[in-house]
Amino acid sequence: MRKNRTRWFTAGLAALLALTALSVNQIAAQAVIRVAEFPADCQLSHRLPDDPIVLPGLAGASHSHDFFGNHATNANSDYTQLAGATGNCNPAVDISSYWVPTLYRNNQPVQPSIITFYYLGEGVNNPTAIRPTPVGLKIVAGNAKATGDADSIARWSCLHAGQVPPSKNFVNCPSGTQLETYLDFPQCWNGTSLDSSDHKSHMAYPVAGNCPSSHPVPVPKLRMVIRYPVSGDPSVLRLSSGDGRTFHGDFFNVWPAAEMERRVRDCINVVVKCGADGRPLP
Amino acid sequence: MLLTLCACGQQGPAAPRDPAPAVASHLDATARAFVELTIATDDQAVKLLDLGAGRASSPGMRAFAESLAATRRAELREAHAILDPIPYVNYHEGHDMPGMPTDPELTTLSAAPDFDAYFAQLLRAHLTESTTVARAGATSIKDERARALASTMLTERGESLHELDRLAPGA
Repeated sequence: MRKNRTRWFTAGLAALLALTALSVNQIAAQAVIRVAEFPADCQLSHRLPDDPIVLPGLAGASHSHDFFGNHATNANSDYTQLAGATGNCNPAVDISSYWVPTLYRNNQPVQPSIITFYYLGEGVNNPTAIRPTPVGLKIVAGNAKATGDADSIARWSCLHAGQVPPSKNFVNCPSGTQLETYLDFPQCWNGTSLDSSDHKSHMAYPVAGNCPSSHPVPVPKLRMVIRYPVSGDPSVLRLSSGDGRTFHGDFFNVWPAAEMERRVRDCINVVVKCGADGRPLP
Repeated sequence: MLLTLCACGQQGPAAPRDPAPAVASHLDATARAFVELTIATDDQAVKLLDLGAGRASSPGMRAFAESLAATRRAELREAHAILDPIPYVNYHEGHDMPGMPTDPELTTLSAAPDFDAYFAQLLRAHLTESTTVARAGATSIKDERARALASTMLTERGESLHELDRLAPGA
């Protein structure tokens, strides 16, 4: 009888311990933030009138661009040249090249203050199908030739001033806040070409949460978020490509394949918000 | 999986949002970009030069503008011929590209009190900046005909700058 009681007690204790362990695991599982995301925080590297995607090999032939990340980007950049250079992003392993038109205030170039590139699982219904962005992929977003709101996907708003409605053109940010812009890149790849003659047609935006059959491979959605330390009257602002609606961005993927793969597996496919190191945020 | 299939069914045949004409390019990427930029720039340069040929008060400047306008038109014909059969798309419309006189500049010129001085200034910017572009093209282009165009442009820009120096010193 006594032996039996001991046995029951032992079994009960084991069950209790197992339950405790389970709940600890559940808490750990719940603690992750259920957003498919990993970031790269970068700095302005340099300015050049160059564009290695749109005007390859033609140094000095472009309007002015602000280059972020890879230090070596110029008109003659190719994957090999960029892969042998370093960058200024956190994480340091991201030596990709990112660029946007230069912003001018009263004809003086403005240095962006906060530059974040988010890689996101949103936009497609099935995040488990998202594949790592292929090494060397070039993507452009936005319309540098936009002439109105209808042909622009630009979005301008104010950091710390959510009451100012976002607009496709520059907005008037209250004093003490910063002007910010968001740009979402197409995330459906045709699966075969790293670039195309118009630099757009190898990529597409999803339709109703699915990549079109012509562009069947979903990759993480790149979202550029750039903050500028300017506020007030937007009539003194211009981009090197025109007004705010002409904001556009270019991306040349130089992430090491293993680093991109790990982040897609551990952050995007499983819908977990990660830090710059590609580890889940607590 | 089921959800995905259902969504596909609702959506019907998927169409890419931006169906660009997929003409295989006989030109290397640098040649094509150079030729397209040259056309966009020269279309604006012709407007500038036609204004100068009609409005400059100096007979020498008028003759120079007229002759240079003819050179640009010939350059445009050659650029279009190199691009053919790729349809020309102006990727640079409305941009302040190096060497490109912009529409606002041309509007200002039309009403400028000192037409000749501002014309010479815009022409100098066109010649100087397009020298940079032509030099890059002459170095980097692989297609022979496009590279030859870039070399011709580079030489011509240099000669034209000398002529401009002679006609409008200090402008």
